[in-house]
Amino acid sequence: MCSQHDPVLPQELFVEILSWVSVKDLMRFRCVSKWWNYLLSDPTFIKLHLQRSSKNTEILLTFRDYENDQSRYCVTPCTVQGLIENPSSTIDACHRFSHDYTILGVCNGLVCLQDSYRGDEYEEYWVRFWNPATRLMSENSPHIGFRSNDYNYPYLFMLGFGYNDWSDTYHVVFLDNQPQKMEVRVHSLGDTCWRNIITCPPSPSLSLHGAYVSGTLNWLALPMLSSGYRWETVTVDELLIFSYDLRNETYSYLCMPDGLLEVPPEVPVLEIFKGCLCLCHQNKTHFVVWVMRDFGVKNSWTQLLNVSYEHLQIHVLHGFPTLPVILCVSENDEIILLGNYDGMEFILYNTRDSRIDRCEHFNEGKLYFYSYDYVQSLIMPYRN
Amino acid sequence: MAEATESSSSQTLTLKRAGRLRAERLIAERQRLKQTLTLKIVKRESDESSSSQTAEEEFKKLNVKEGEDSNKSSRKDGEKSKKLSKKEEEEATRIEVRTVDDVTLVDVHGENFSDVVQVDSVSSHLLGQILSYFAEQTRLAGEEDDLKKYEEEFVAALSLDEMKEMIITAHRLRMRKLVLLLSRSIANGIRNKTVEFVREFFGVVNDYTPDEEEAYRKENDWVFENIEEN
Repeated sequence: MCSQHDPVLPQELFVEILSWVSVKDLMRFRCVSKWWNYLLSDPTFIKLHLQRSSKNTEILLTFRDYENDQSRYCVTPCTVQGLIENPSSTIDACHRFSHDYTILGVCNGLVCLQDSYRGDEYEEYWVRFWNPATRLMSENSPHIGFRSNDYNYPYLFMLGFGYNDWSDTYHVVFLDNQPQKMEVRVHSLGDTCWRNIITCPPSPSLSLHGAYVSGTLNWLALPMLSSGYRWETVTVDELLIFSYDLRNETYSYLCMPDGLLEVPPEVPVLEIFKGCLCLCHQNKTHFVVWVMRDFGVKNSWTQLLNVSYEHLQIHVLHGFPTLPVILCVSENDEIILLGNYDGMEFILYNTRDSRIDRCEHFNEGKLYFYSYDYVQSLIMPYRN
Repeated sequence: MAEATESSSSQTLTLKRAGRLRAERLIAERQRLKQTLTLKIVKRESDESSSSQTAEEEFKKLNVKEGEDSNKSSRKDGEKSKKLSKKEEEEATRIEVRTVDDVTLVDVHGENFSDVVQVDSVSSHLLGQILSYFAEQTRLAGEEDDLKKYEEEFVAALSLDEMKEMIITAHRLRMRKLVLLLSRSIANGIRNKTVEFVREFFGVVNDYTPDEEEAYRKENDWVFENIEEN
């Protein structure tokens, strides 16, 4: 009954097996045969592979390195575990860009890099897409430009990078923010232009890069105010999140957590952890982090962290400490790794026991830490 | 040889004619708890070529029945567990493995269907292991840790080639969980392996010219570093 010939695998099984193989191995197996190359570049296969990889989420840590004469951004993909156990050696093994890119955002393992030209009267911005796992990079996108005089503080442009799962496209969003109106302009991966999508009410902007979560891009904004505002007089009701829905091409405003009773002394920061939107701010003595467990649901804002600077052993002589940066959160939300610029150290904070597990210094000359949810994927940075 | 079986408990009729049976239908994987699994090898009644006889002898007669003692649930009530085992027998799923003209047929007689799947090119040894897996899965359903441990041991005992053979049969039998387990294990088995190894393992013919392949290797030299050279 046993066949003497080697059994031949049907195509579905090939696909099933290969969907579990790592990106590096698959990049090598592309030269097994022409059919394998075709299969491994197929968007349907890439999506299936992404589904499998999504179970192992990692972190993409980025920071700006000032050690050499030319400061550049660096990136390093790492696991949450690896980063928590050894932050310093993790950032040592980073990829340093030779060109002066800024990281705009990361989606499904695809990184959007921002480049710019800033003249006296004229500014231009464009992007490139890069997959760190396959090391493939696209060409420059079309440029978007404007006259510097058209923009006056506090009406500044905003940028964001996100993924629309309905149309399976990656979008770069440019919020053309002028005193009279705000235009949403979008460039999709593979397009040759920027499209005008909708026009919204203008809004003094509080952050440059949008936070991507659940098919939306989010920025802190003050849509009810005009150019003559002062931060000290802003009320909590006026502080909102401008949320642009990539799927429906609509916008809405999200409110602050109910527990935020007064406007922080400094502008808060939006971050994303494990697919959830987080609001980080400080008051005079404490560092507070809220997380929106269910995106869009106001009541789902819960406090992830509320710890005093004294407890974190952060002391500053004058004014407020620089807002610490959350670099990663462990599986069970128990361990949080913070970057503290004032002390040039990583703080491993245990939320369950409310204590510092460990402190580790990092080299001077590394600033602007930021971390993104990351997954190793085969997503192509360009259309074939 | 024609064989017709009809019973009121299995609601569908299966009629087989002499010669190769070409009907292949899907078997929905049954994951219901506490399922009794009876496997019987039915001997062929025809007196055609004797080559099948050795094949028959190769097959073991497998009889796996879930008894009361193997009910590992956390039920402390003895009466409850007795009631359950009675219900189990009523909901029995029987799998009959038969050979007809050198073709192994696996019948699954269930409540709502009776399907025939043609399974060929698999050794009896592996088929037996597949059926053991199915039985063990049913038995341990709901106990994640035990199931995981069993799966790890199951896979560790198989060679890469055996896994490849087994996955084809599991695929035919629509045993989704086993296919997934074997896919992941095979993927793990080809980790860091060379292109040549993969070509041989999957039986793929290289249709790139040497120049084309060289160009690809040069352009992506980093993926060819730190791999197992064998």
